[in-house]
Amino acid sequence: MRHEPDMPLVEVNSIGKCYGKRQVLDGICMRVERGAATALIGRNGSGKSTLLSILAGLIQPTSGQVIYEDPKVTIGYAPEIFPGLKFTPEQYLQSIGRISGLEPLELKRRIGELMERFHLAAYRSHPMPSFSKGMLQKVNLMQSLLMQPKLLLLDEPLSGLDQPAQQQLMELLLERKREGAAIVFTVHEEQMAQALADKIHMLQGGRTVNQITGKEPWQLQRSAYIVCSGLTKGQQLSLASRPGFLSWKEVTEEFGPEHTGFTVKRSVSDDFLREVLGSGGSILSVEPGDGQGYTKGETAP
Amino acid sequence: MMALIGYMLRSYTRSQRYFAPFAALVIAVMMLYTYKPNPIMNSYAATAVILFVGCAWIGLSFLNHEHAVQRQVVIVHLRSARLYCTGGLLTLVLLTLLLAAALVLYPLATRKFAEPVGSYRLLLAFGGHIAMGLVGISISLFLQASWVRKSSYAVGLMLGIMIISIGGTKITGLLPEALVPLRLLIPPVSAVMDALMNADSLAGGVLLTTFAHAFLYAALLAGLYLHRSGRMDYGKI
Repeated sequence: MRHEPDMPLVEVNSIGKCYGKRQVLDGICMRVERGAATALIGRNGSGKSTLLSILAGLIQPTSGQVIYEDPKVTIGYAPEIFPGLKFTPEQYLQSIGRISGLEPLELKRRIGELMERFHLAAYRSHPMPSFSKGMLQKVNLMQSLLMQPKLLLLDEPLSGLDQPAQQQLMELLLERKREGAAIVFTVHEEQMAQALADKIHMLQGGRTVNQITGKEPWQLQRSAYIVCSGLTKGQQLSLASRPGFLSWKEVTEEFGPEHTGFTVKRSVSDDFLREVLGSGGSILSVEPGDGQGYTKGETAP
Repeated sequence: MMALIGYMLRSYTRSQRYFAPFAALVIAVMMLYTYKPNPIMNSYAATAVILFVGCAWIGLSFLNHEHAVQRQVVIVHLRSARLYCTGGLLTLVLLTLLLAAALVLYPLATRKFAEPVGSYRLLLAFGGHIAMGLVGISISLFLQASWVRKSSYAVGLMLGIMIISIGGTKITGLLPEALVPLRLLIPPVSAVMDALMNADSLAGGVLLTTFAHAFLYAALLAGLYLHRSGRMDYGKI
């Protein structure tokens, strides 16, 4: 198959997902490039895991489309929670490898390699129900890496791992990235996003609030989320032009008519609040915007 | 596909969910053949109905034995939910064939019949058992947890369908003329049971039509299931 030189591995075109009347994702667009890592960041319930499941082909979007450059691209997927299956890690990985069509010798070699890298070789014949959360997470990551996939989808990959294991995983993922694999991961740990991500995709309430791309190291900065009312369109636009402003959206559904949610850098949130009150607006809530107001190039306050 | 079937069988046997339906099946057949000699085709009709109930139960326990995350991981490795569901279906068909063979051969091996069975009757018994087992499985496909969220509803529906299926001929007789075509919706269990019981007196064509009806019924349900399963969401835990 011939590929366009600038064609991404996966292109997400304005996808939406509804469960009944509940809109979980709305108009998400993104490009997943080879050899690059994308961090999906947002609060709980912002739609990160749903987006990852759509990329994995586990959930069908209600609208929009996901275009894979090669429909048969190998995908490795590590879900957030991994159960203690009634297999040993070796039996499980062998089954998964056979299902994926790996040759027995190659499969044995890869299992051995992964066991060594994740320091699980001593437990390869132990039943998984006796494993700790961290050990199960290692098996989870091993199954996702087994096929050396071109697209790696990881839902909270550091969850449950101790510091050395986190370091080991980071090294492995950077290695995979250098080898040309695309990585999309959800994360709450700034450290991981800083070390691995080339692109940060911020979600809030199922919508993209910001996308940051660049090659320089990331400086992540926390934000504040301010819900206010009583502002005219002109005043809203004026606030949106202030330094430190990140994004805004109508929050009519949650708070009633004519309410607006602003995401601003926390360093300017006090000034922003004064500006809202000075404009004759009312403030309904101010919340820390962890995971939704990341920006680059500035130091955290 | 063989690797997938092997994995599913290993996963199912390790879950121990197979124990209750298999034990019930064995006990029911043992009780049926407690005394001997037994009438050949009547006994086979009874074991075919037992297999129908057993396969529906086994189907439900098999389809619900996997953790949702386990299923998600396998679907991603296969890159196809439909392929995964086909693997599950083929595993159940394999189990049905093995059980049908066991139920047909058991009375022969233990000499529970007074007279020789003969190859024609043996063929009919195999056909009838496989048809009944497949109908049982095809019903269970739509009652698994990813289709019917509450297990109590699934069990209630399963029992209701079994009762309607086994009493199908009687129920059809009670229907007003205008509703008689609805009998095609009822799983053809009683028809196969009647055909097996009266196999010695029925023409081959009638028997063939009855069995074909059951196979077609199971195939249609399985086809509908596979068609729908490729469009379902597997993201929820």
